[in-house]
Amino acid sequence: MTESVNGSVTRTRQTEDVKLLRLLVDRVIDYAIFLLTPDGCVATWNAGARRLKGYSEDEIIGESFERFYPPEARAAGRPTRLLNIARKEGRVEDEGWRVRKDGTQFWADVIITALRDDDGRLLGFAKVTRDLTERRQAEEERARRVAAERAAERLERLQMATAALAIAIRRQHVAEVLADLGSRGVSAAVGVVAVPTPGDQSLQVACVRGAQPIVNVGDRLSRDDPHPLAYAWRTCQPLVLQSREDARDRYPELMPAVEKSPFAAWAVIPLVVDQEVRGVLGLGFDEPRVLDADERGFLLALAEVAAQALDRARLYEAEQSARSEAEAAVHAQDEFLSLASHELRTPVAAVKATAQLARRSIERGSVDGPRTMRHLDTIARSADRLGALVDDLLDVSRLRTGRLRLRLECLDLAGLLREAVDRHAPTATRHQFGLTLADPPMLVDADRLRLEQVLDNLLGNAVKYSPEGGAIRVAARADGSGWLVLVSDEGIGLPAGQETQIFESFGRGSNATAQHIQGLGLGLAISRQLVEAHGGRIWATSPGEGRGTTLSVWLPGSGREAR
Amino acid sequence: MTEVRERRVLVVEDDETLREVIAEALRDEGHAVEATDNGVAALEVARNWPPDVVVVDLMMPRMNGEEFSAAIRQLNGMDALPIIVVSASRAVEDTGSRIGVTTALRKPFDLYELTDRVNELLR
Repeated sequence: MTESVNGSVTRTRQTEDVKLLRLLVDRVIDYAIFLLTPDGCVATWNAGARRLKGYSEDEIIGESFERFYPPEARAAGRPTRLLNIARKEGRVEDEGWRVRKDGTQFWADVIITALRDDDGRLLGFAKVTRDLTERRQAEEERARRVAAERAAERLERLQMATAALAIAIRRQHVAEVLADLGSRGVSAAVGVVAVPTPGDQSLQVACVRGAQPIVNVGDRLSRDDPHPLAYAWRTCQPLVLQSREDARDRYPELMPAVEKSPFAAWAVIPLVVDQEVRGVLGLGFDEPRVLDADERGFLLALAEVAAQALDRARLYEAEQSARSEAEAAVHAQDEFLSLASHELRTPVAAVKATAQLARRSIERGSVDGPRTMRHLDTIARSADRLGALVDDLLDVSRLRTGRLRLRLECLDLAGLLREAVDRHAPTATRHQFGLTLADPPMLVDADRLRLEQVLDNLLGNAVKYSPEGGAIRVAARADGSGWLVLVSDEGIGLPAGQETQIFESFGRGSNATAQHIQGLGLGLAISRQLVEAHGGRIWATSPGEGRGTTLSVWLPGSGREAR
Repeated sequence: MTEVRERRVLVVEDDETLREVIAEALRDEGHAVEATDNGVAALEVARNWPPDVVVVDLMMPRMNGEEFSAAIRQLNGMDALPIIVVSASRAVEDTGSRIGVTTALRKPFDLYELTDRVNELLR
């Protein structure tokens, strides 16, 4: 009895519970809770489902649950796959877009649970769906805000970079700003900027920012070096190595350089203007690193701004160096004029003093013929010296500014040498001249007066710099496509290492100066320019001080000669 | 009988023509003149033949006029030696007053002025 009562109570209680449960399920409006048959057709429907999906019970019972999915998910077989997983594993969770009756979509969180009886027979599925659209919108909104903030931050960095680069007029300064902002902008451990050297011979590191310098300022890489920096330079392409594995897979040739560095990841961006690489920005990361679109965009924008700044700086520097060259030329000209006027003043002083001396002897009534003659000769000689000096200075000036015009004619070098020796031998009484020539004619295309000037200078030097006398040997012979003229003396020679300076304007051997042998150091400078203007070369050799000098001139043979 | 010592002028100038002209003009004035073409040789002369006045070029190889002037004043009894410098340099007067010489003349100078200055100093 009691049992029966109890049983009835229990039954009644169970019936009540089922009612309550059904009520609970039915009244929940925030979740769609419904049952599916084993083949996926809707078996029950609750208030939440009505609200969420828009179908009434009559419309949906017996229909396939696939209609809740967007067409592309259905086409991809997603609903079936989810049921299969639930069947196999007992349950499946999913998030994704679902379709309402009116065609609008909402973001849903779905749990499908397989319902089995005690024997494990599949009775169907319980499906609980929640609308997460708002949460998703909030998340999206937050992500958008974060992205916007990051974008704003990068934009600010980029603006800072643009502003800093706009006032960077030297490439070094551009490199520093770029290495600094580039590495900070993407939190790299090191930023390196390298620029090609003039003529694109090599890529030189201009700036290194960061704790672990892997390269040093001034290091040079050649174009085909297996190094990430050189790679970006030669290919004109950005290079991103997300990790050492990535480098090994995609750029095995760069591995030695990557392994030598302490970095797990690299990003190298070429700085390109007019399809020409003006520099390279290299970034090293301590950890493996994937640059997101935003970071890549930032680096590319920074690279573009920096490339333009480098280009501007290059033009500025070129202009600066052209200007300082021009200033140096003006300065050299000033110095030349000041030296020239200085050199002219001494012979002028001699002329003036001698004239005044002659005048005073007349004033004092102490004139005697031979003495006055001597004074007048001194004046005439000084005037000659002045004239020659003025000619030399004019020549130097003309040659320096490229204003010397040669009147070329076909001449016999042998004849010119013989005449030159004849001019010098009579006055050089302490010297013995020797002349050895190849078979004439020795034809050259030359300006007669200028070539005579060169030969006179060579012979005059030989005499002047062997004040004790001695042999002066002049020899000329065929040499390649031209003629070689050698003038050797037994004079004071040249100190070692001074074979070149004597061909510079106002350049003289230190022993010539020390021994007070007069001269301005213009003759050989003029000769060198004249010989070079004829397409030839001039050089000096000497076994050493006190052991004589040989001046050599090579001149091309005449084009008219059939040799 | 006391013999009055001749008045001595030492000329140091590396240009031969000018050196000869200066020496001749000073001899015309009745002075004893020694002339050399460099400062090192002139110091040697001065040791054995102490001059009363020196005429020296500023720009010379080996030892320039400034170095020479300092060196000769180190010699015995020559710390107040009158020195006349001649130079083509625009800055001859500045250099002259810097090194404390008596007179500075720029080339081309006036021969009368030079001999007058020497005569005054030897009077």
